[in-house]
Amino acid sequence: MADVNLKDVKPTITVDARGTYCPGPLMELIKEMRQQPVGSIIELISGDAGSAKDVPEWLNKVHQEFMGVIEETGYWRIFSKKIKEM
Amino acid sequence: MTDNQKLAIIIASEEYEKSHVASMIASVAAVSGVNVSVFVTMNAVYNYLKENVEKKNFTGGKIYRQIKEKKAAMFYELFDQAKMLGGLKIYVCSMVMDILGIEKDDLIDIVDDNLGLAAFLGIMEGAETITF
Repeated sequence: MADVNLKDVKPTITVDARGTYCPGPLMELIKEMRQQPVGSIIELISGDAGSAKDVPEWLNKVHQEFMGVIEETGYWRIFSKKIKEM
Repeated sequence: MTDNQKLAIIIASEEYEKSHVASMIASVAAVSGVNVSVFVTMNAVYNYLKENVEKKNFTGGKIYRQIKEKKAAMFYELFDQAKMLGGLKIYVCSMVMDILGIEKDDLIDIVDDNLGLAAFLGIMEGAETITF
């Protein structure tokens, strides 16, 4: 059910990191999250299977919100929310 | 938050892959609030010489060839990016620099300083340490 809700989410910005290798997608997300204001929803598109596990782990560590992941064919859409300054 | 956590990485091998995995670990640690210090020593120093980086003159194996072929980010690019996003310092062993007769200017710009062992042991105190 979470996925259904996730599909309705309108991200503030989408970062397409396909074509970069680990830890590229995570680093792209971090760069974007630094720039965006608190409350922003960032969608990260990654072709690296590790990202779907890496990103929630990192978000948890730095206390930002992991909203969920949608697996598409050959890539992952990972949704995060910036809930505090970083 | 994991503030005050310290990670020390020692790279002694000239094998390209070792610097690459070190740069990956350093990157993710640095952006997770860990203070990372990298100590480059022995044969690894060759991979941090401007001359060798410009010519991509590295000693590496199968994965190195794939990294080059797929045009993935190189270790020095990962280190550079990590330095912009988190707490990461890279030091080169002063003893090896002495032996090779090289100056800080001969090393790529991501290198912060040259350092003796006593100083690096001080940095390593209380840190998790990984050696490559």
